[in-house]
Amino acid sequence: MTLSRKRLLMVSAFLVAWAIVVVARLAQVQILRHDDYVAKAARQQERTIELAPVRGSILDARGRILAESVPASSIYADPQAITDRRATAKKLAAIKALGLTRAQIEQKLKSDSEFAWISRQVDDEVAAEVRKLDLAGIYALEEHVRAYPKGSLAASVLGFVNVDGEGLSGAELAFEESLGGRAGKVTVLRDARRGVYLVGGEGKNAPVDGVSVELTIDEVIQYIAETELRSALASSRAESGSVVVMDPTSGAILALASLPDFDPNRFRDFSKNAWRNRAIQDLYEPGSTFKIITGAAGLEEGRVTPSQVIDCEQGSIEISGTRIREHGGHQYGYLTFEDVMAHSSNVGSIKVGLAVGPEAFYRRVTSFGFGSKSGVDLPGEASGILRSPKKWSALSNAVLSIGQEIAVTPLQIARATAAIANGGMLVTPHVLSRVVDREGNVVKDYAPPAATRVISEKNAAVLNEILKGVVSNGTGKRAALEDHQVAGKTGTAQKAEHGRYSPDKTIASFVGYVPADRPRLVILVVVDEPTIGQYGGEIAAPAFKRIAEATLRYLRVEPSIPGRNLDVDPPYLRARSKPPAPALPAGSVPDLRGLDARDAIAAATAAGFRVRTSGEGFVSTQSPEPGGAAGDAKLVRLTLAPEPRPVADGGEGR
Amino acid sequence: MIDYREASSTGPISRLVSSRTLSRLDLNLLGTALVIAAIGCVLVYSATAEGRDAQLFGRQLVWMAVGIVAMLIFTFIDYRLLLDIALPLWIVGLLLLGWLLVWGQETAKVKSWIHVGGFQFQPSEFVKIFTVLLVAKHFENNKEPYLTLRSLLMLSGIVGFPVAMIVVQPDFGTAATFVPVAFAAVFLGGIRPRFWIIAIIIALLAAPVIWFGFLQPYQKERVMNFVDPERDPLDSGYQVRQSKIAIGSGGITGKGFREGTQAKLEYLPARHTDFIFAVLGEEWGFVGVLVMLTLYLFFITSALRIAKAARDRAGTFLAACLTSFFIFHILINVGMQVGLLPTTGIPLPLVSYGGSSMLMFFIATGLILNVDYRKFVNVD
Repeated sequence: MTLSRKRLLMVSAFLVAWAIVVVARLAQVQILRHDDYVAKAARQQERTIELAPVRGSILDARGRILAESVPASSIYADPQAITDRRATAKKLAAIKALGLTRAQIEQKLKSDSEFAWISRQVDDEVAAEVRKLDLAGIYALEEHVRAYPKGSLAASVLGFVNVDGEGLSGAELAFEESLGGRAGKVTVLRDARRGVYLVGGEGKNAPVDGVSVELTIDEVIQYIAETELRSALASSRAESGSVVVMDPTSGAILALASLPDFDPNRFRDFSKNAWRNRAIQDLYEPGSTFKIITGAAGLEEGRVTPSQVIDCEQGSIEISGTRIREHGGHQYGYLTFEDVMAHSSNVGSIKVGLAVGPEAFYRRVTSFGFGSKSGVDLPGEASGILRSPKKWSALSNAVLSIGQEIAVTPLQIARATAAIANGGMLVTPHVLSRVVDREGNVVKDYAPPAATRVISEKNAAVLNEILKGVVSNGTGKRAALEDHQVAGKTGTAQKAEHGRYSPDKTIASFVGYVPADRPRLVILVVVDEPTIGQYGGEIAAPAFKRIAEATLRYLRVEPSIPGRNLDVDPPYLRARSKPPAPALPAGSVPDLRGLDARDAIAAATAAGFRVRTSGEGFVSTQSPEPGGAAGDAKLVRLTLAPEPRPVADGGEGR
Repeated sequence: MIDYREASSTGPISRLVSSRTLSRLDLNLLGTALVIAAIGCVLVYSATAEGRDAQLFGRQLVWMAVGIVAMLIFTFIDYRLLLDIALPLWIVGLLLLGWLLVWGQETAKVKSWIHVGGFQFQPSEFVKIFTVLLVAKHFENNKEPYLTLRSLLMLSGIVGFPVAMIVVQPDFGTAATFVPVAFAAVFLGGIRPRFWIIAIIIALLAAPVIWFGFLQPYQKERVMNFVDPERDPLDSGYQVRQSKIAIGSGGITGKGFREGTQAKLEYLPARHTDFIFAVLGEEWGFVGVLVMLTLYLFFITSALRIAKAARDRAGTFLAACLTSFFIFHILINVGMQVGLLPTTGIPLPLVSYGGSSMLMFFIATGLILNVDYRKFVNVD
């Protein structure tokens, strides 16, 4: 037989051997290494793309926008889809507004990946120019850029975001969870020629936009606080300072000013020092303002009464070998406790503090929130430094009574003072009012933690009277208002330098509340290292006064001193509290008259115009007139004058 | 034993088809071939349904229909009739190849296609059949237990001429598919042990000569990439890498009909032709692949059984040499896609898209059926 049994067997054996090898191989590839190959397939076929949600806005207490995300285009490249890198880079570099050189672009295009940013968040015109070039592998993507329309206003409270829209500091960081929303995910299948094939990513994979956060900060009060702090710094030639304006009853922070400040729109142009929120991050020795706590401790512990007479030892007291003098070389004899506070006597205060004793004093001080964080809903808060009595020296009890050997944040002082103002309750300071969605529905209200009583109502009332005396006939006279009674305390702390107190560097402060008997505001002004003058009473108290005055008018608080009428007419408020202008036809020039330069520019830019200004101050005339057409150039010329001119069209009718 | 020439006295037409034909056909072989071809249709459809290749499925169906008709024709024309005209057919085939070399159009730098109407075909596929017929013819009256030198030289000529002309096209892949015919002929013809030794020595001596003298750089690349698949992941190793990803990611049960992402996203090269097996592995998994291999093995054993049972030596040679085509193609093609053999452009029999090879394998199947059909002398 030609095809003998033997030969057939040989062929069959060969076939079977082959089949075994192939099946073994298939088992290896398809079963043993299946997961590996699935991963390999996914790696080349699938790309997961994140869909960025739109970040929520930050609003002030009256719903005015402090931070928002506005559409912007970003230019990116698929370097693998670009055949002629050089030509592409050259054409892109020709668009000057991108601000990139040909070499820089070429460098970006050298990437091995399939995605490289060319320029993030550029103007629409720039994106349009890029699109017009229609370059292979160069694309524009709709993104959002964070905008702070009020510029540096409340910058340290708001904080800022990185280029991907993630909060890095301030409220942007604190409320990231609400503002940020949730990124969506899309799995894109890519074919072998790098074309996008299928796009999924709906339902639970769709991005969820962030919700808006309404702060307790009021834009106008913030503006007042910043303006007055700025002028206090200017007149005392100081570098830095902070202001806290707080509702003593709720703990709501109405303004939190920190200078020097920065523009969050371009925060990278400023030093990290300017990013600080001094009101909650900086520590200082409170000095005499702390005597409020000393007084509260004395009263609560029953060691002192208001009319009790204290021997102030003619100007100095010696504590275990160290002589402590009165400020300004005063030589007081016998003073009532009221006068000790009014004149800020060091000797008298030390005697009260010593009468309380270390353990009780320490307990009282901590109960007012010192040495621990206030719990404010902003990131980076410092807890201050307060050593326990075990670590105290023989001097500690005495100097703590006058606000030394303790480091506090401005917010801690304001909070403790609020407890006196509101009748004894320690509240939690906060900036969050509520969280609202895009339709304006309230998603979440701020839930304040329970306040704790730190001083009896009676003793709070006693201290109230004492602190009124500080303003009416003591060191805080310059904080007095015409329309309202003010209660407060000055502070002038010597700065510690190289382990000893500097003779000329001070921190001048004033903390107070107003109206004293029905307090609406607690205000603390801290000026660091004034070079003209050094006392809290001469530097911080006047700033307190102006802030309190303007804020109470803005809040329409009726005068609490009989015979005074509410007169709402400070010039800068006139411009700021103007009711919204009547609606103008879309695309026409908005009414910018009466606004200050910053607001005018912001409003015009928001409406899509370019602005050229001359002069300084407030807008007196504008060209074109409101409602007019600006032409293709979209240019509005503004003439500024120091005082806002009354607006003719009835915007000022009250 | 009745000589068929007596039976043929009833006339040539009645010899072609008889009334009992269907019941006398080897339904195992025929059925397996049709099932394999049907699976092929499903795979080709899946591989080409998306995008620019969508019209290919229709062509595949046309070629299949043509193939099945051709298969039936070559089943019922008595193979001995074909053996009688084997030499003229072989000469015509060589002339076609020669015509191609002189006047043929180059497709991908290879002159191997003849365009007729909207279709194109490769004459080299038919030359394979003609060559096998001539080999069978050669052994028709050769009763030697071992191949004589004269016989060996004649075989060399029968196989060598067409191979030489195809190598000149140049289409080494197709030329290589003639090797199994020569091998089967020598294997069946019988060869003395000392010839084996000589053959092995010649092969060993020829290897470096072929490597340095004949192989094109791209072919050396393929061999190198086979030895080390990761050395060049984006070029020639790319194909095997992608086919392994396709097969491997298919897993045990596969991704399902038309769910093969490797194929659909066009990572898999030549997915409807040479790499159709990877589509099978991806969409139908290990199970699908086992079913397919079982079908092929069943087909081969059926065909070999027919070769063994043939009534004459020429029938055995004819069926066995044709079966060797199937074996060779399946072995090489599957081995290549699982990364066991270097990449070559060899289609999977009855499955891969491609008219000429489809037609050739159907004709081959028809001829094997033919040998079976006429194993009993009293056929008609």
